[in-house]
Amino acid sequence: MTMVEGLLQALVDGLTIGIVYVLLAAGLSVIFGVMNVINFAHGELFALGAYFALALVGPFGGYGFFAALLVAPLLVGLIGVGIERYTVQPLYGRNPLYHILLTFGLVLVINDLIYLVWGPGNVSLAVPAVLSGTVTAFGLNASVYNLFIIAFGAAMALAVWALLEYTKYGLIVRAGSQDRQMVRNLGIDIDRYYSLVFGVGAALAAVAGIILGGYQTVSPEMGMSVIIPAFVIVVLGGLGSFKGAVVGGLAVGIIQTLLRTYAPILEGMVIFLLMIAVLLVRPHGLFGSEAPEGEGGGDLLTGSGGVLEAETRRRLGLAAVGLLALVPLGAGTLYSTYAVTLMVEILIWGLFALSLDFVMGYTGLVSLGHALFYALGAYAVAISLAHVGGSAFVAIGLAILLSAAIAWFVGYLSIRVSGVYFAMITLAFAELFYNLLFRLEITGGSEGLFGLSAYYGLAGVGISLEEIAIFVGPVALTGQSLFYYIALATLVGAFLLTRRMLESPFGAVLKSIRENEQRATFVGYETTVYKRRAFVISGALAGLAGGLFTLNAGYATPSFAYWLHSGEVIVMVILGGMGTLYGPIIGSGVFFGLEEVLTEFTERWRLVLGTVFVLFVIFLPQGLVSLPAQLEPYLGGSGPGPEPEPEPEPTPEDSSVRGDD
Amino acid sequence: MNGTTDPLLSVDSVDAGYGETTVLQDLSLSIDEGEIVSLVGRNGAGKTTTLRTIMGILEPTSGRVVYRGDDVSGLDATRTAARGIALVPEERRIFPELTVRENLELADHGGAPEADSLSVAEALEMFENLRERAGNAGSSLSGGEQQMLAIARALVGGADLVLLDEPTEGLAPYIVQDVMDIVERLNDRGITVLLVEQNVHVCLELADRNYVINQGEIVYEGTSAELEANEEVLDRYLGVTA
Repeated sequence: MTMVEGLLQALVDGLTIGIVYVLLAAGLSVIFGVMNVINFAHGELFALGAYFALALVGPFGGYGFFAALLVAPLLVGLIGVGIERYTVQPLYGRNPLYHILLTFGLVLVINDLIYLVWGPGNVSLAVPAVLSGTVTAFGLNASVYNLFIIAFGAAMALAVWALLEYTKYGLIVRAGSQDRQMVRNLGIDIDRYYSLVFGVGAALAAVAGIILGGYQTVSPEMGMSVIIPAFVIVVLGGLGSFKGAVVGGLAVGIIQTLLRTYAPILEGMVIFLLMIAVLLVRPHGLFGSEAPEGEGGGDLLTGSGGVLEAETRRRLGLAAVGLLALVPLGAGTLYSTYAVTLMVEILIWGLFALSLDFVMGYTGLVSLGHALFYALGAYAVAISLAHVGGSAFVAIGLAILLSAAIAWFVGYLSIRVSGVYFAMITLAFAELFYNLLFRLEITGGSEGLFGLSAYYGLAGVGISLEEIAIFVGPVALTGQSLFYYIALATLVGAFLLTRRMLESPFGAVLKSIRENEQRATFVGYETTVYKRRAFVISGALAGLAGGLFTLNAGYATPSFAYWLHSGEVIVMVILGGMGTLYGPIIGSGVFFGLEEVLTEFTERWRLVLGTVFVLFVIFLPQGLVSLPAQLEPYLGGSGPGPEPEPEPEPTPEDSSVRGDD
Repeated sequence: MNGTTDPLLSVDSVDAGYGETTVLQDLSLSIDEGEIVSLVGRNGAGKTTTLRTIMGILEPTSGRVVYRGDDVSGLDATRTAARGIALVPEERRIFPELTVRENLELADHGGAPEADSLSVAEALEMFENLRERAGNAGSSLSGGEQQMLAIARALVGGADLVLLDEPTEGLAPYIVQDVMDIVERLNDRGITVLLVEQNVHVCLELADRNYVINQGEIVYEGTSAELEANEEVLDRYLGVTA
């Protein structure tokens, strides 16, 4: 009997969470269906709803909650309309992946705004007395608030369903999610409805945020923690399907809660496993239609190579490497040794960004889970140093092998789905690994592995970098400064290697896949095989980057695999210029440069970064490397670029951006 | 051209294409109110591109499209449709997950002011086999039924000019006859039709006048009787040997 009661209790709790998921996922799904927009900022709108409610409940207390439930979603809805009109709208007609990038930028902006206004930490949202307490029925204690969430949430979901099913507005929205151009052909101005759909979706997210805020607590991280499960639900149910959002939301809510009670070890992972399994069997989710992804399949805007001659570019590249090689020499005299630490990080992330560019910019595969491979490399090195022996060479070798192998496996499973679904399935794999890292003993759980050191040699024979000192004039290069050269050499080597590959026939096939995969198939190429190979190479390079980081820093933590890391590396690629290989390296430099400068003024530097990124996606989607070409008409073809770049010590790579044409 | 009144639609020296590629070159044609005019030509001749340009899905790079005396070349599909031009595309583009009735209801939004448009109920009355399947999803219809629905949708939308893109393509011969009957009935209601076809026989039977298009240019214009007698045009551009 208690067993049954426990089960029922878990069901009620699961239903409570499930309903919240339904409200979140419904908005996300309909927004995608109609506009092809993957809205990462949905989680932040959810959080905003809760914070607005908090602000409203504060002065009025108790029953202010009901007023908040009405007013806060309206406000958030208006913000949603604003976001659609001023940031999303300029991107219609471009590849839907740009919306992912844009809304990722918005996540950074809104999240930091929340921190700025309301500060960190958990706060509780006061629920009126009417909704507190418990009721007992059938020997079951249910809190009134639980029942309120279930009833109110269900009523909202029902209202949305009725709106979609029985009104002209809903009919247009549903038709629009199937064939937008045909709706236009019928004389209906579907574009007018976009803002409204976005606004309604945002308001629904806000409602979800408020009712969950009253159930748990309100915190700035609440959006981040809910967005990934919400996406899993949407993808699971089928992008664009309201029914899918309902079924997926309830199922995930209930499964998660049951597992928390009965098999906590699986709790964080099962939804990702579920999503991967569903996508492999039904590539469009449970209720998704087989319809193509609409006319939104615009090209990815990749670098054109700018205005420079090949020879000039080669010289600039050589000059950049030459200048970079000088950096450690001034450490401790011209500037602090911290400059070297920072530059090592830039070089490593440059390699990481380059690895992503190889698949994203050249094959059109947008991996939203590339942090998986970085983390794999880092942990492979960490575990090797801790358990296999201290050899840096063995550790790095293992890192490359392991990440390549996992990349092959992930690629094997995920490359059969395309576009947005590919992005989501790679994200799922990364999140799966992220959760795994917390649970495994060998990875050190949430602490990670630290205090590691390596020697450079094999089978116990070798030397650590601290034991070497190379004198260049009066400057002694040792430890980190020597590692700097290893990182630089690796990056240059990886750049030359990937460039070589892309100039080969193999590279030509990859580019043709990016341009038009179907045609590449018609010419007789088995594109999946080529994409998988590219993915393996990319994964191996990302693993190498992660491995180098751990080798140098001596630690690895689960956060390496967190989805924000995957997002950040995408930011770098876009910032610098996708499809150029060197652009992402510049992107890495600018990213860390910005961070360095901005953190001096504010802890909330991502607000600025996010804004810059959003502006880039809208106005300069080809990245910094396209700046000279963009500015050329205004400059009359002479003089250095006037763009003042906010950087502490201008990284020499930037010379290739700003350089005279 | 055939009378003293202005044509309902005229396409004047239009160039249009996709990106760098020009498909239509200096293309002109005109249709009087109440006519059935065909545009016939081989695959890739530019037939669909012509319709897309009239509809406003493509913008002409030069020349203009004039409808009821107004230059509509700059208008997008939404606005051209609101003026009473309806496109029945080659793939029919029924909304697969909406029911037959919903497909029609979607189109019913006022329509062009001058049209005596059909209500949804009237449309279901007129198209018998659609009536039986009013509650079924668009995706469950056969090719012929989808074609009927696409045409019915144009009527409900209140079209004065229907652009029919290959309505008989891929249909069984007896259904082709049904579609042709429907086109006749449209025309009896006073609706003007621009019919794009590869099947010359359909054109010759339905159309008052025919334009033959080849490589983006109009190479011949004539009544059905004239075209039928012109073996050279039939052979050279349409691959029909008399």
